[in-house]
Amino acid sequence: MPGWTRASATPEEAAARQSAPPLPWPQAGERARRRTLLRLLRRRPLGAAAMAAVLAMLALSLGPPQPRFGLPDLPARPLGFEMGRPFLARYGPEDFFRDESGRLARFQGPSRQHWLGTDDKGRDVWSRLVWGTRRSLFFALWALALGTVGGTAVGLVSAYFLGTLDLLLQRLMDALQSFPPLLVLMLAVSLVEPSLRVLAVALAIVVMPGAQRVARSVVLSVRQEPYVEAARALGASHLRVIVRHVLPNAVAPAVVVFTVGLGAAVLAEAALSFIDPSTVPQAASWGLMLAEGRAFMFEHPHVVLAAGGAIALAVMAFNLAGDALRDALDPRLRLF
Amino acid sequence: MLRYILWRLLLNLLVLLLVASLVFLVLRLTPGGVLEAAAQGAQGDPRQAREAVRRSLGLDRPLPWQYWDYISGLARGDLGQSFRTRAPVMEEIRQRIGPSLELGLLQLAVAIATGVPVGVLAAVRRDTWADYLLRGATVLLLGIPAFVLAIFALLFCARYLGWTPPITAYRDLVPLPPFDTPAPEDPWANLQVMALPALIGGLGTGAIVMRFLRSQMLEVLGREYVRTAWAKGLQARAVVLRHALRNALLPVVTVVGLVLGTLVAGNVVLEAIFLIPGLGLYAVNGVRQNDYPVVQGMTLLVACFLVFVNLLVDVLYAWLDPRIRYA
Repeated sequence: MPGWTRASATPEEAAARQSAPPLPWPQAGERARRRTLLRLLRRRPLGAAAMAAVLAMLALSLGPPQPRFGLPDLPARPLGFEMGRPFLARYGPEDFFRDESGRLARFQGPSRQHWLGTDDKGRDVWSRLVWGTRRSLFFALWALALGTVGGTAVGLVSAYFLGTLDLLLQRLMDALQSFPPLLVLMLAVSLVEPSLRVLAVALAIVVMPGAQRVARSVVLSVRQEPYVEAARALGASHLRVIVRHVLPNAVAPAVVVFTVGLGAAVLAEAALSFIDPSTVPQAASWGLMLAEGRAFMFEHPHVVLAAGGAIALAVMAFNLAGDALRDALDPRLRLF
Repeated sequence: MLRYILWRLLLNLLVLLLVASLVFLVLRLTPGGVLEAAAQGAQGDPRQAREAVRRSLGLDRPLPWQYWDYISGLARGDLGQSFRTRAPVMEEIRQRIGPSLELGLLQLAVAIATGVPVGVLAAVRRDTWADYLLRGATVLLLGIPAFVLAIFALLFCARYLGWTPPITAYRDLVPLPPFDTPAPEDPWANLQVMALPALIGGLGTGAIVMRFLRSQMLEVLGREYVRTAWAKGLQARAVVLRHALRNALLPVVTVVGLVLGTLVAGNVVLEAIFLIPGLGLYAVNGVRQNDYPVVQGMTLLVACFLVFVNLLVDVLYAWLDPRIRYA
């Protein structure tokens, strides 16, 4: 008989339990964590591999931090401070090379100097891929972060107050959702000075309706709970109830929305750079490489293969890692 | 039910009005690229040229006036005139809707032809190598973006099959209304252009249909009436196809609806790669050339399609499954 079903313990037992030495929590927790990791590996090998790939992307995009601070900007200042050349990039994104005879080293195959060869302008394909990783990764992270935070806020307010506000906000969200995403991004770069910051905000607006729908459905069920009513009865303000009692319920779903959307964000950035290579910011990007490589892909397919492979791998890794995380955190959000 | 539909229609109109107003505002409040382009192209004083263009396009009038003209035009079914060609946007859309519709329907056909049988097979053969293989294939198809797949497919066809689709040779397969255009000269040429984009887009959607259908089938196959059907001694084919599949297909309607919603301009990338003169390409060029009426018309068209297809899906759903009732 398991211990926790016993309702009454003898006084001796209770005393013994109280005087027992505190359990060594850290070790136990660590062991549990290690076991979780093992279980993840065994149950979802694909998800684990995908997470490893995402970590590899992160490693590719890191570089030596520089003491120059400012508002986050892509791709030079992804986190508010500047980052130098990625550790794993061998050359700069625009460095071009000459062969022994002094001519531009165009279309070279893979070699020791150029792991993935060179492109039509004599630039190192591997280095450009690595630089592009930083752009893709942080673009996706920022766009999704802005979109999920904004969407969750809208969903919270909309579902908490309901009524006309809800009706109007929801129609506004419907309207936003019915814009074709790629066209929104193209419009954003054609109307204002193109920068990745503008693009990230534009993509965040596209992401918002989906994120707010999830938050809204959570809040709709939570706002009926007795503890919300109790908090109101005790005199808590709406703001306090929303932040302390309602918001915590919406955090896990928001995290899931965030991770599941990352793949689509990488895809959106690549697709935009591919479709509209002349107007997007010109820093090294997978989509740009694919667009440029298309001109000579039948003679020298290695650039197209490298860039396309990177895009496909990244999108797949984000999709699978997001799915695995969703199943772990909140299986109810499963669509199929 | 009728009340529900009417209420939804009303909400849809509100959404469409919001869409129209948002696009209008965004386009008017941002510095005008169309004027810059005109000023650069003109000879003489760029300021004068800019003013002339502004006047001729009607952009010099007060914003509320422009807005009123736009919205009242919409009410009459008039989307305005293209800045570039000066032709009515409605007319230009009508000319380009054929290729997009053809591509979309071909993709849908491919999606259903692959997604449904594969989904059923994967569910019936759950946790066997066939299931793993098919699910692995869907993971790949969902992960590789359409434009990357298109490039790879072109490369593969040229290298190993020695065949490149005649990309510039697009011809309409079906004459457009009012059917006074000459009949298609060569349906075979049309299909050669369409084959790759239809296959690529269709397989991607088919992967979604397959995943959805598989999980639905698994749920339905565990129900008691299916066990009863087995117990009655029915053939496997009858149990799976007649008893299980018919119920599992219901949610697939939703997926198909979503796909239909993106059908109008959802193929922007594929149309651009394979140079299919459809609506996706039209919208992209509209944005590139700062052709405001074209952008406005296309966003509104896409929104219209999405909103009404959603309504249609919900109504269809209630009709197919009598247990669903809308209050």
